[in-house]
Amino acid sequence: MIGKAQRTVLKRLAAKRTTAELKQLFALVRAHDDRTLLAAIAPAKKPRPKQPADALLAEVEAILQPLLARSSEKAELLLEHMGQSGSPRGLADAIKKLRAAALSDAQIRKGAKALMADLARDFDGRETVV
Amino acid sequence: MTTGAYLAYDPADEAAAAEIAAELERNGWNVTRAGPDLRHPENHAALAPTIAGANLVVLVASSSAEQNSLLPRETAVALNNGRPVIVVQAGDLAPDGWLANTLDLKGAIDVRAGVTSEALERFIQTARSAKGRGRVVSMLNIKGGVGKTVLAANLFAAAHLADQRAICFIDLDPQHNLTQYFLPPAERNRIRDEGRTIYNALTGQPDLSAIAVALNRAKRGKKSPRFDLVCGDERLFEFTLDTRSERDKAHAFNRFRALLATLREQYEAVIIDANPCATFLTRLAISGADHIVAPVRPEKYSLTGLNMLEHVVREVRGRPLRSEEFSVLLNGVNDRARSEDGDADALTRAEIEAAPFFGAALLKEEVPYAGVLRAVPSDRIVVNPINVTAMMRVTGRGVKEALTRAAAAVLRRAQAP
Repeated sequence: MIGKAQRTVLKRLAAKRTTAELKQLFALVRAHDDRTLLAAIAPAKKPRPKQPADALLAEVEAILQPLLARSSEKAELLLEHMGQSGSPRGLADAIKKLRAAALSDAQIRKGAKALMADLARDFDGRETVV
Repeated sequence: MTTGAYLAYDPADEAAAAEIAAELERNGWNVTRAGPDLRHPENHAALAPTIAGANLVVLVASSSAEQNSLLPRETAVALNNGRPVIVVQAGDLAPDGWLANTLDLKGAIDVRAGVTSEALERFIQTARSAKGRGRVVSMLNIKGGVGKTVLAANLFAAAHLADQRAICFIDLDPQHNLTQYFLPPAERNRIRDEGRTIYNALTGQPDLSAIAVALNRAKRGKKSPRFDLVCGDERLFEFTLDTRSERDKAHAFNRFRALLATLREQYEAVIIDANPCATFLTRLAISGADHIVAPVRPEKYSLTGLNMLEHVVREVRGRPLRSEEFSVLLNGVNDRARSEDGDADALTRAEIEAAPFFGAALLKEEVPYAGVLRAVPSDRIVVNPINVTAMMRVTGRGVKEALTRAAAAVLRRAQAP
């Protein structure tokens, strides 16, 4: 049995709709579950605008690739090597901080290469045989 | 909680022993005295478990104690079972007697002028701090290749990272693979040149509280507990090739006990990675351990290695063993390449479960086979050693969770009295 409150809901739904339209609507509701119906009427998501690719970031990532460490650790090493302090969240953040410290892209690139040369000297993991 | 103390002395030192026993009992210790009943030949079988079961062994040292034929044996049982030994010096000792050759007498409580209240106070302070909070866990299996080293590194990295445990490894294997697993050659050479390896700890006089090297060098989260390593050294071969004298070995034994006592104060768990055979170094690893972890791979010869392990530990400790002193950890299960029809795990598990001794030591937590748990050559540069462990590298949660669960189970068993 349909109660008084439910009848009110139906009447609100039926307002300004023809019987044919209502029949089509009821058939649709019977054929699909709630999740599918709600997804169908949800507004379309706007795609997030893509960040413009930072060529220097990609380059620094490639230079520091042989280093087995999380991005935040690599960033900290780079920052420290270039005489800056702070706790960067990742390489992108470190590059942002270095640029803010008035260092040019060429200097950052050179710094990353020098850091790797230093680390390779002190921490090269290759075992040698006599 | 009542703590037990075993008081070993010669009958000629009865008066000093009685005062020490009374002081211990006043401070809550339950004292077992080395009387004629316990020392009767018929009770010899019960003597070793009694000494091994005590939290503390007190030895009254004097010229008559040096002539006593039973005290060296009781001292050996105490040392081989990792019991802290406090020496109370009641008389002058020969510089070349067994006491001077066996024990470190520098910390002895001197009561030669009488058992004064100051001496008793110092004695009680020493007794209270005799055993630190940290537990010593030895990774042992007489069979090699069961994954002791890499498993130790990853298991306790999981305990450190997931459960915030303060961990210190001791690489007691002359092959020093654990040190190689964490540290690159240049750094190992630097540490060796600085005289900060286990070899230096056993043969020299370095500062034992500063000998460990940090393995977690992450600058974030500075409050995180320590994760350190006492580095291995290939010169430990001197102790396995028997080129070292008995006197050197006795010195190394005492130095190793001092190292463990120092590390117990600083860490929650001290993990010894031992060599896969039965040598003087194995004896160090067994005698110092509160708990022994025996990794087993689902392979034919692993079970033979377990049986030999039980035999060797029983031989060193000189008493029957309890299953609770061991954890058997199945390592490398679900390895499809290892078993054509996939029953190697089930067969190994069933065989150990049915064993009268090791059945009760088998952990239900197991470590699955994973490529990341293999030590393979790499040209990556590692500045922060903990980054080589599976906990920092694996993206899937399965291996990390298995390691964390197994490490927690081992440490839980190691904490049990």
